[in-house]
Amino acid sequence: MNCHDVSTILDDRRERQLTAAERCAIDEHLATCADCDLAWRAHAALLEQPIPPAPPGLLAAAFAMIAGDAPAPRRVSSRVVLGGAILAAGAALAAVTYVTLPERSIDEIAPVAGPAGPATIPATADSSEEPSQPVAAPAGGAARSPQGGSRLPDSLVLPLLRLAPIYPKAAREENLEGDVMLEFTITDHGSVEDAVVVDSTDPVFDAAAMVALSRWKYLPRVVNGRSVAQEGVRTVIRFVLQGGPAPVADENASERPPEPTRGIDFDTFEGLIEPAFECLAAQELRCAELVLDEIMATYEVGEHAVVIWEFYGYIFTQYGDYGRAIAAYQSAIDHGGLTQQVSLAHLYFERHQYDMALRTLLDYSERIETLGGRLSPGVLEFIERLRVLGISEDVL
Amino acid sequence: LRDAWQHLEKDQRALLALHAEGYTLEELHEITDLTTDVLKARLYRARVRLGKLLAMEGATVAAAMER
Repeated sequence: MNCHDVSTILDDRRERQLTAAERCAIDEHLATCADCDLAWRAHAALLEQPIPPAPPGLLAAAFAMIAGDAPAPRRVSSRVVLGGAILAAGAALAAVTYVTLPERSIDEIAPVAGPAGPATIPATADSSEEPSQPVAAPAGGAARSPQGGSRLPDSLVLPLLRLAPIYPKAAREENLEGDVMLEFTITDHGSVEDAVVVDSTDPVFDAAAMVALSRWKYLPRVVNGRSVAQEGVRTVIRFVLQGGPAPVADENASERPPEPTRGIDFDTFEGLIEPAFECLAAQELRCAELVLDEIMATYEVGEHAVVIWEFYGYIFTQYGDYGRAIAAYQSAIDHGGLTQQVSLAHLYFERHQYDMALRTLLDYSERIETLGGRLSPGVLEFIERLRVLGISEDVL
Repeated sequence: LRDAWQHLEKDQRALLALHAEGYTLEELHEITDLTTDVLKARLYRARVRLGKLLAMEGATVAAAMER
């Protein structure tokens, strides 16, 4: 047994299938060879790490690094060829970058409700956590499965359409506030199904939270060009009373007001956009795009413009047309959209515009802070990964 | 491991992470265009370096506990 043999066993990950004789020979070698002993220990330590998810595209940069190049623009076509591998391996790099992260907590933005109005606004923090994991745990399951073709953020699941829950009368009368955590499946056409209350500070809120969530719409996850259902997604709906008339300081407020003051109301808009989701379910992106075109041409969509632009951004991203996708997300942001900045950052990342990605994320985090919220784990992780790649505010 | 990992070179980090995820030398060769011999050598060096960093970490902890 020599250094080369030991190295080969580790390279082939055969260390657990050794015969007793081999194991003996290795121990003998390790006792006399400090380098091999270190290598053996490092290998074992690495394999013990859990594997959390990573955004797709990260590995393109990793490959470039291994090959000795600086992360440089690559042609989209070359990434497409590598698609499956990149996405599956995306989990790997994150696996180890994850351990460099500090303790994380769930996204939190305190919403408020006026004393007179019936509605409060849900603050949401969705993550595709495995059902068994606690709230603050990393999104473990989602990105381990192959996600070829998806270029959307996979550690952050945000609803496209949110209906604010009705504040339960009994709770309002008792000045009771609370949170409800729900777990559910996002179907391949973006609807919410199989919702269950996982945790709740008071059962009085459960029904209201369930009713509101059942009307929410998500843009479905796309795997290998097909939209697929996503199980085990969690969100927290928060019920908060506000003593006096206060400005609505919530992520929602700037992009998806529950009760639009002009244009069309939620129910009407929901009806209009439903066909677009049906197109998605049928894998007909072009059809969905036409539905959006028609809505834009026919209606005064008002505050719902953010939703439309986000939807456009999603479609263009699936086309691989990043230029138009970026423009669409930018329009959503211009209309007051906030979370679209995360999608935008992912697109910049895909295009290897790391500085723009980081700039966008930092801008986003500033806005979240201004609103009195906290960054979601997915975003913190993204920023951390950009830093691991050597991009920091200093170079901006 | 967290601190040791941070001190590792970026390319070593990337290579070890991919390998830990289950990529074979052959697959890594396809991905990076590096020969398997080069990859083997780099993997070995990266492991030794990480092992050294881990050992240093352990020594620091032991020293701190003695105090």
